[in-house]
Parts: sequence; structure tokens; C-alpha cells
Amino acid sequence: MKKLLIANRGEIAVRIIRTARKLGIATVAIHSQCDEESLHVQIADESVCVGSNRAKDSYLNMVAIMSACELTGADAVHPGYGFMSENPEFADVVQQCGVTFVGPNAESMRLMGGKVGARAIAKEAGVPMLEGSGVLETVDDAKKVAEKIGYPVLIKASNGGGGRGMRVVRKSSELDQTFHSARSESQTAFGSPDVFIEKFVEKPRHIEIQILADKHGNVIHLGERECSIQRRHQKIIEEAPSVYIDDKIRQKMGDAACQLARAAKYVGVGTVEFLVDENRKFYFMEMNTRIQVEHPVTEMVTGLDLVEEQIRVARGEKLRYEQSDIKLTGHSIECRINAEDPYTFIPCPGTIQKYLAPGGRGVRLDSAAFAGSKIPPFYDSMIGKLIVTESNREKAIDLMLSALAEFKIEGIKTNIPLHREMMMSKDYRTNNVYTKWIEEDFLKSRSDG
Amino acid sequence: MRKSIASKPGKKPAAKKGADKSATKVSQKVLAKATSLDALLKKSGPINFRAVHDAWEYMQEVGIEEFEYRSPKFEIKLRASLGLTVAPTPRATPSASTAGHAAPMAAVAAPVAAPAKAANVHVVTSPFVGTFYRSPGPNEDSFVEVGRVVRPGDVLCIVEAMKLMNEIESDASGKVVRVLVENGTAVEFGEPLFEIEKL
Repeated sequence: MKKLLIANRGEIAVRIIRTARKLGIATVAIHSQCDEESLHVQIADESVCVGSNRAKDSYLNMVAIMSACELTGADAVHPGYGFMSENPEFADVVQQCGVTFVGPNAESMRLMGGKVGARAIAKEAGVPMLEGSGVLETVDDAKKVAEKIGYPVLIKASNGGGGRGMRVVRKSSELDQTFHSARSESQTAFGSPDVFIEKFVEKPRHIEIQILADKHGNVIHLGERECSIQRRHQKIIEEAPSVYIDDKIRQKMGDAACQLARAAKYVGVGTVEFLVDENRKFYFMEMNTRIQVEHPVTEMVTGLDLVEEQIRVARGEKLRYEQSDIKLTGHSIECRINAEDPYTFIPCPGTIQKYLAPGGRGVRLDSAAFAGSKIPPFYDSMIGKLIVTESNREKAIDLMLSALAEFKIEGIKTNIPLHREMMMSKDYRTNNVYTKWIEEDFLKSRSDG
Repeated sequence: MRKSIASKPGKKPAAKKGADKSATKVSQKVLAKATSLDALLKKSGPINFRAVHDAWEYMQEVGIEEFEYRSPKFEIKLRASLGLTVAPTPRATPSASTAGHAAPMAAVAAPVAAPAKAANVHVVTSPFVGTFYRSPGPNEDSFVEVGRVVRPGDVLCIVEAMKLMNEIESDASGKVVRVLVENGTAVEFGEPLFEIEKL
């Protein structure tokens, strides 16, 4: 691999460029017009403007990106996360152009991309799952399934993602209406009305397993990440390891995730998401066929560079580790820093006037922001990830508080104050959380007093 | 005598044209000055006055009327007969990039797609990422030459993207006064291609 084109922007593009440089690979940044002065453009060896500001004209513009590939002579493309990272058509096109795609192949994406299809593979692989159905065409079918599973149930869009397209039904009288609106919402948002039903778990935790597979059939897992701190299904705080599970459960979850990866013929870096209930039973949710936003916490506790592993696998190298080589040491927490009002959550694009970044031992900041940088309104509002690592969870929380206190950004609003409050809350410190904790408990108690 | 220095600074320099050292009758001192000026311009990234001043001095010493320096981030053109005219034109090309923003001291800080020009000059920019061609085929005449009067819809050039030849049409009426890109060069989205003086 001589030259890698990064089909993304922001902090992940910077992150990928850094590892490519470490490996002696030249880098090409692509960007929209408004991202001309972005950090990823500045630090890459070459850059190409691929379109105007809207994502569809630039970062989702397959033709322009492949043209940039051709012009610069890039022999590999890294899709990052979001944008086209899980688009099987893009993976196909890249491969057809004789360029290496740093990610799984299109077939794996198709197998694991739809939730119903993924569930079918998981079932075959013997991975524990919540009771559920296939695609439901009629309300009557839905009713039958719901009665069998038992309320409460969740109606989910098969092609849904990002936490959207899910509705809870607590009793049969609600099912009719919810079923129909779920179908039309799914059609509008995801282009397909396909919905299915799954048992609903109250107060679940979201714990995911990082897997790594090469092109020679070797698959290992790199432990878990606890991602239960979410708002509207968007993760806000992630950590590794999870203090909610023990080594036995970790091993079972890890093995299940590897089984699934093998069944999906997965290659590269991927994540298998599980819900864990109050009895510490785990159930397969979905698989993310890309590198994830929160990958740094896994890197900090395992010592691996996941982008490097992606590149090595893409180059056809064998994994350099066996499962027994993987050890989780210490505790790492990541806070996603978003350009938004910390109380109303309204996104706040603009220009950063003042930027004082935290640092020091155990503090890592993955960000493309700097004083004078612009946060455009066309893309998501995450401007960086603050990751701290210490020997245990308590110390990590204290270090995060310290780092957040140092972190001063002016010119735009950020959710730094929100993170500080969450880090100081008793629930978070005692890990008494679940996926709706922010919305149901934390925010409500905050507005009360 | 006209001298031009064009270079593309970067970690892995590709096609790089250094100072033309084979120019006749140039004294050692002037040559040394050219080399150090080249280094200074390469290092400065965004334009600064020191570099411009040195370029001006260099011109006077060598006795040249026009001096042109192009880098991925800016372009300097100095013309002796009109006095010190600096037109820093930040230009992002699909090539090596240098760090930094346009220096506040630049005489004219112009955004990428619109160099500081008279109000009646319209700039045609590339709507695609691809390779710029002035003619329909390798041995054929260019679509347009400088001086040609065009109307909206007239084909000015081709930008080839992924083996597809896209004809780029003029969106203004006027006279082609400048062709900003060399035939066969890679262009990015928004790259200025032609200047058309509106009639």
C-alpha cells in the first residue's frame, strides 16, 4: 500500500492519516469546499476538493472520490466511519477500480447490514439473541408474534440505524397504530418499510465486543466497550472495560462475537453489539461493519492501534496476535465533545475563537478542532473525543474531570459542561446506568433541581 | 527575458520544476539569490512580504520584466513596468499542500474560486474532479483560445473523470481573457479554469 485516500473528514480523517504516516504510507485528503482549511487537509500529503458543501456532493460523492483516487494514484481507500463506510456499493466500486478498500468486503456488509438478515446469521451461528421475528407484512402477523414473545415488545426497522426506527409497544391495544406508523416512518427514513419485532428489555446496557479478523480465517476479539450512556440512541460516553461483566461473561461474549464474525466471513475491524439485561444475560443486537467512533478506549486498554490493524489486514497480512495475547489493562473513558448547547442539545455550528486543549499523562484528544477552525452546519456536530486512561475506573473518572476542567472552547457551545455533570453524578460513578439513563434519570433530576 | 519558477512543495515531491539554472549570462550572485528565494518561497507557505520583496529585488538585479511563482497555496506575479503588483491567489490543487492560512499581510487575500479581479470578469470553475483538456482530442485544436468570444453553452474544455469526458460549457457571455490551467493537468472541484471578461 503506497498511497491511502481517506474518504472522510474531521477527527477520524486526522486519526487515519496519523497511522498511515506511521506506516510510511502517503496520504490523500478529500474535502468539500467549506473544509478547505480543515486539519485533515492540512496534515495530509495531498488534498483534493471533491465538491460543494453538502455531504451528498462531497463526502458521499462516489464518482468525485474515485476520480480523486485515479488522479492522485491512490492504491487504497479508507472510508472511516459514517458516510460510505458501510455502503456495499462503494466497497464494490472501490474494488472494481483495482483499489484496496480498508474494510470488510461488500458481501459481509450486505449480510450484516440489515437487522433481520443479521439476526438470521446470528441464529445460525448459535449466538444468543432476544426472541424476535422476521419481516412482518401485516398487523395480524405482528400481533401473533407479540403475543408469543410477550409484551413489552419493540418494533424495529430492519434497515434502521443510528438508533432510529424503533418503537416500544407495551400492550396489544397499542400495536395496531404503532405498527402502521413504524412502517411508514421506516419507508421515509430508510427507503424500506420492512419492520420486525423483538422482545423489549427494560433498562438494558449496551456492551459491544471489538473483533479483528484477517483474510486468512483468523478471528480474535479485543474485549468489550460499555456504551450505555446515550441520548436518543447516540452514544455520548464510552468506556473499556465494562465493570458490569466479569471475565466469564467477557469470554462468552467474545466467543459469540467471533462466531458471528466467522459466519459473516468478516475481514477487518468490526463490532458486535449486545444488550445486557439486569441478570447479566447478553443478547445479540447488531454488527457494525466499520471502525467505530469509540475505538480509542479499546486501543488504550489493549495497546493496539486499530487503524494499523485495519491496514495490515487490508494488505493481506496475518494477524500478529492470538486470543491469548490480548490483555485488557487499566480503564479508559471517552467523552464525545459535540458542538451543541449542553442543556437544549441544539447543534451549534460556528467558528472556534479560543481553544485550550487538555493534556498530560493519560490524556488523549482525538480532534480536528483548533482556534480559528470552522464547525460547518452540514455534517454531524461531534468535534472531538476526549479519552483518558488510568489504572482503574475511579481514577479514570477523576482524570476525566480534571481534563474537562482544563478544556476551554469559546466561539461555539459544547457539551463539556454536560460531561462534567455526568462525571460527577453518583449514578455514573457507581455505574448505575442503562441506555435511557440520560433521558429518563439524569436529565429529569437535573431539571428538577 | 522572462523567468518563471514553479514548484510543488511537499513531502514526496512529484513533478517539480526548480529554478532554471541553465539560463544564460546569470551571475553567480544572482543565481545564489534565486536559490535562496526559491527556498524562502517554498518555506513561507502562505505568502509573506519578505518573500515578495526579495522577489522584487531579484527581478531588478536580473533585469527581468515579469516574475511568476506558483505554489499550491498561492501565486505571485510581479510586473516591473507597472510597479510592484502583488496578486496572491490561494490556489488548492490536487498536489502537495502546505500548512497554514493565508497570511494577514497578503496584499489581496482571495478565496480559492475567485481571484481578486475586476467586477466584470467571470471565472469558470471546474464542476468535477478530473483531468483538464483544452481540445476534444490529442491532435485537435483547442476548443477556445484567449481572445475568443463565447456565449453560454459554448464548450470551453473537457474535464475527464473516470474515463468519462465531460464537456464544460461557458455560463457567461464574453471574451476569454485567461486560461488558468495547463492542458492535461489534474483539477479539483471548484478549481478556476477560465477568466471571461463579460461584454
